[in-house]
Amino acid sequence: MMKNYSIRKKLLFIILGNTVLTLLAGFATVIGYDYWHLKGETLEQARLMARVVAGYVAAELVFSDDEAAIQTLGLLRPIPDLESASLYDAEGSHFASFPSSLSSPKPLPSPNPSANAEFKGGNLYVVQPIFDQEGRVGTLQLCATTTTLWAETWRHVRMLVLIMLLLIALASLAALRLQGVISKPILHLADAARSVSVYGDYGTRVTRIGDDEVATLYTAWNEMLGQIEHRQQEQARTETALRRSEEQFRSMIEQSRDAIYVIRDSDPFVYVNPKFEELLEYSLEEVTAPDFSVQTLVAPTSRAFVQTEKAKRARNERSLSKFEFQCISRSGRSFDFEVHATEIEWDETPARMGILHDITDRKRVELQLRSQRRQLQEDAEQLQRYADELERSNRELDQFAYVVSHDLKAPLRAIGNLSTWIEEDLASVISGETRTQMNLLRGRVGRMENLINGILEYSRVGRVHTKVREFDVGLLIHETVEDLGPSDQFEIEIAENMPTLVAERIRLGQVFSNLIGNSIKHHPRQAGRVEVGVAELNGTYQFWVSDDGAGIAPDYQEKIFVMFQTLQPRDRHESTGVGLAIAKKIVEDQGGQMRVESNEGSGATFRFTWPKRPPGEPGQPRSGQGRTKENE
Amino acid sequence: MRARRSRSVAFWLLLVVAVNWSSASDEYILKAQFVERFIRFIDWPAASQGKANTKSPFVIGVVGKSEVHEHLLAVVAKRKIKGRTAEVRLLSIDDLEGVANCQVVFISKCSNHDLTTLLGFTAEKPILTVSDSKGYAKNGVLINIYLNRDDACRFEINRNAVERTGLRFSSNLLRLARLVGEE
Repeated sequence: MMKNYSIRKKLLFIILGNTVLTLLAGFATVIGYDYWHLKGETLEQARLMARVVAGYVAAELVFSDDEAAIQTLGLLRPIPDLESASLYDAEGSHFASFPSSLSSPKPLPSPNPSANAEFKGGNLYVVQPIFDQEGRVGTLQLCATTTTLWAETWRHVRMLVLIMLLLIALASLAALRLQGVISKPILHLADAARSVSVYGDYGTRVTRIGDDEVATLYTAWNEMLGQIEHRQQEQARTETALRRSEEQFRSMIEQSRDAIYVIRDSDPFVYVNPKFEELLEYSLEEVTAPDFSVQTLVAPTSRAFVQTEKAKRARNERSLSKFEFQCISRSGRSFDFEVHATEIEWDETPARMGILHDITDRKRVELQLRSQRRQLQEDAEQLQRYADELERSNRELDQFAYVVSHDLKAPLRAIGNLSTWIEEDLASVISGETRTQMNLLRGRVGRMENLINGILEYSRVGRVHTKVREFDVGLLIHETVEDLGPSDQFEIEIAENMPTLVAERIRLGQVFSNLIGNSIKHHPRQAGRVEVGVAELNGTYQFWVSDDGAGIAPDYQEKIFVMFQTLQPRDRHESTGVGLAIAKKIVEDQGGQMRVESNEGSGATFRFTWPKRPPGEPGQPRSGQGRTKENE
Repeated sequence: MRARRSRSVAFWLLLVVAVNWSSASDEYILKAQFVERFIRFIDWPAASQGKANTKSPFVIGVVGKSEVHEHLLAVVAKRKIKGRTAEVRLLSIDDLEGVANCQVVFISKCSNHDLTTLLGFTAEKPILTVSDSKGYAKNGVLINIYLNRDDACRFEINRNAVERTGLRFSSNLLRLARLVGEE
């Protein structure tokens, strides 16, 4: 019941209640104590006086002087509220009483009672035995009312009650004032709480006063509200973010270029996106209608797949999450899809989401590519067959050349020898002209031998591989020049920056030998100059041999590399016409190229490229064809 | 008829006499008791014992014939007076020597001359004189017992006589007495 009262009332009640109770208790104690004390005093006083008078009045009893006794008893008058003082003789019979007008003196409790003083039935009784030297002579009994005692006490009570009322009044005033110290802040807080709950104004704050528990409550309250406000704002922010995110995702799904569906194991679809609707030509309402069967969209080629996957799921095995699938649209159009399936939760139940990526075109292209590849493979096989045949015929050709030249050289030698022998045998009879012709014959034979050697050499190049070594090109060139043995008038300048190569030394030597030899041989003058240089170009070396000879007219620049072609009649220079062809073949065999830069009358520069490492090593193409971009 | 009346008269007469007799006896019992009680309120000076110690008896003498004598005997029979055994002696009026050995003397009614002589003898001795005759206190008896209007026993004391004897009377005793001066 008290629970429903305001705090102010409660506090007042407590404080006043406490005060009143305390005062009551205190005053009651005081009164009680005073009363008890007063009683005791009264008793003691009466007893004392009785004792005194008893000692005094013995004589009266002894001498039975009742008149005198009454007078003596009168000494007891000061005892407040004395009702009677009676004397009794040794036998307990009444002797005398004061006041003498007493009608019925109170009897003794027993003939010779012992001294006693007590309050009985609202009266004070004192019994005092009277002795003289010889023994007990009688008893004195006093009887007094407690009227004064009560009156005194009552007066006391009234006074105290008055004081108490005054104190209570003062306490009430103080309490009224003091309860505010506690109740005001709490009521203020209660008001604030009410305003928050009614108006929802979480911005309300209370000002903290002081530093007690209520102040702590205030602080906590403010903090709490602050947190609520903060959380509200956060929540609003989160909601906005969530909404935005939802919109984003929604637009992602709805604007996706892929068709997206959500399905449970049983028909129909749970959701499809607009792209799905567009491609397969069914609306969302149609595919999510209860009577729609998903199978409608499945192309016959994929039906088996659907069954397999369903069975897998039924056995609680994992079904494929990425697979290809064929669908049929409403109008019968066929689609190839690459499907990415995921287990998701839709409306808090498990479902599967699939993203259908249209790969119809891709599939078509794939098919094309496949047939193309097949075609290419056939072509490649064909090419390989050609290459093999080519190689074979090359080999045969080389062999043929080798064999033929060998077989051809033997008779030639025989012819030479025979001619010599004939000449020796006919030394006496042949003419000078004949001898000249014989020499010519041997010269021709020699030429033919050279030709055959040339052919042989030509056939060797590329067929017979010499040792691959690391060597200094400069050194090689110097050796080559030495072997060529040009006249002193010829200046052969070799560049300083000749590299070191790993290659078939002999072959490169052959190239330089041919080029430099040609330059020397075909120089119109006795004195000439040949320069040999090198440059690094695109990861290969480009060497050049340039002379200041006659030069080569553009018309013949192609021809000179052809076998057996010479610019001058053969007999002028004794060249087989094979040298350049060989040199070119050697270079091309290494994967390089040779060309000439020249103009008639202004010398010629033969340039050729040579790889840093021989072909056939890792990183280098096998034969001359198909070089990497680095070269050239 | 006549016989019966005379019997009742006789009865009544006897009753009156008996009552009177008993009341008369009662008076003397009381007087004897008073005498014993007086002694309680009076101190004899130590010197009066003389060489005597507590062993010697406390003597109450009765001069002249009085009913008090026999009652006194009864009173002192069972008790000690002042811690000594009490004796009651009957003395003749002229036995002054006997009187001198008493601590208390009860004087019955006698002639003025005898009284004066006796009192003259006891005047300055520590002897308590008690009488029950009218006017004797004035004559010098220390304590005289009388009956008041209501026939209650009262007593009067001659203070001057008391002072002369050297006996010490309790104020309580004096208080109750009618004080009497000399004549």
